[in-house]
Amino acid sequence: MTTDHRSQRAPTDAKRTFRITIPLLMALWVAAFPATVPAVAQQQELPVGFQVGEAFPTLAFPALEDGQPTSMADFRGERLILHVFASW
Amino acid sequence: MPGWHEATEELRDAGKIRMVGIIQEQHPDRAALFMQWKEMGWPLLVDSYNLLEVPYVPITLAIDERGIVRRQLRAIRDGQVIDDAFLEEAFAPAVPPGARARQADAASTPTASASPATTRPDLAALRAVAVREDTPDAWRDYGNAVAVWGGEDRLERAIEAFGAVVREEPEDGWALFRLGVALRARYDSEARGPDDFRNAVSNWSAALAIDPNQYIWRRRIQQYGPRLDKPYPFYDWVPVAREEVRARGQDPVPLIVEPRGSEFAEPAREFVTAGADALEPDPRGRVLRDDGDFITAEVVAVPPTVAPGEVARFHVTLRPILEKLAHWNNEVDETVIWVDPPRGWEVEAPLLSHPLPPNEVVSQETRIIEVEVKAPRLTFSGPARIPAYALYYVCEDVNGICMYRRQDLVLSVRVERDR
Repeated sequence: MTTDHRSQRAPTDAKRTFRITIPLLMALWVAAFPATVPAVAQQQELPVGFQVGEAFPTLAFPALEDGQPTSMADFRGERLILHVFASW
Repeated sequence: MPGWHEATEELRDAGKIRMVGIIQEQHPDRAALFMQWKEMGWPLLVDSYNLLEVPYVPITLAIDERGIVRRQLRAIRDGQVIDDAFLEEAFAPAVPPGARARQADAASTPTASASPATTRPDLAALRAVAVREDTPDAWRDYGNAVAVWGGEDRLERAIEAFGAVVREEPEDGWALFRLGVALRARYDSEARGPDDFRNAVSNWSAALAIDPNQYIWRRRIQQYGPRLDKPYPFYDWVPVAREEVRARGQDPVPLIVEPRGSEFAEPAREFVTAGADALEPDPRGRVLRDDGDFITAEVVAVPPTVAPGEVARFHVTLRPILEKLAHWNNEVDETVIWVDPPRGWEVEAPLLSHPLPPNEVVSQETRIIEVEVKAPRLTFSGPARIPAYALYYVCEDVNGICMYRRQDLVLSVRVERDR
């Protein structure tokens, strides 16, 4: 059985050319039009008061049960697991 | 969340920890039903305005007796929510459990807030300052305070305050979001204004355009918006919850605002149309018109602006004018709307109906029909007007004339090619 090495090499060359050309074109595009390249999205940072070692905000919020403003400071003296969530 | 509830049961029973929740939801009463359904009895605080400024949920923290964050908890591992060190470590001198520390500890009060608000602020004084100084900061302080501590007029005052901030600083995304929250809340109340829902959506959209990474803001749009934009149906658990609560012999917590259409809708991967062969109910326009004399019609697009090829969900709200004693006649056909999209536009279904209430010959309830419309892929920027009409049987008065009437509608949405 004979093997046509040219026919096997041909796509390999094309693939190599493709591998080189596409990143080159992309790099040229980025250099020419930087504003069109989306920035890598970063994870949104939590606000002040949510990091370890910080005091959690003592803002008041209406209690679901009776609407009375209640602050997280009202729970001082207890160890809490606080869950900020939504039912959806 | 039920997982956290179960995993903390022993610790709660032993008095080692307490669970507390803060809800980031437009309709917090739904969380009350959720808690009842899952038999979770711990206290919940309502932060619909997102005064905490959290970008996403859920967030779970372990907090010590002094209010200091000690852990950010991400997952329940092997049934354990918190390491033993948190439970055993002596972070601070013991304070009697449940002590009502209403006076804020200055040393542990956070920096980033216009309203530390552990004690009732003087709202009249805050408003006087806002009116006198007329600065965004002063109105912001007043708005944040009145959102929590305001009385019966809290929505009016919040709209006034956040509206003033937005007029001065139209790029303040938080003020735009909070203005939207107050407007939508007023829309759900008896004091609703004619454009409250539309303006709420408009403000939320503007906020999201400023900061597209605010997940909580995006959820408000998704909640009422098209199926293509939904990650999952938001409130499909409500009927299940009610059924299971009733099966336990309890009455489900009543909801102030019933979830509907978009809030139940399954997400979609592609825009699907159906009912193209439906017959137009009044092709020659011969049905007698109601020009808003008996039924008021309100049409809101969510989102209010779409790019070519994008979908808007229209909420068509029909309300009998109570002052005129107008009411629906339910002995005949359902209320329907017919949508006649212009060339190139697609409608999910041209003919949509609202079911009649069972066992009621007449009624005065609000009827909402939602329909999704897709913009053409090739179109110009600018306002688009999609003709539609509603057909219904309405009675003019008690024992008055009942007529089949038509009200012509326009579904308006803006197309922006560069959106």
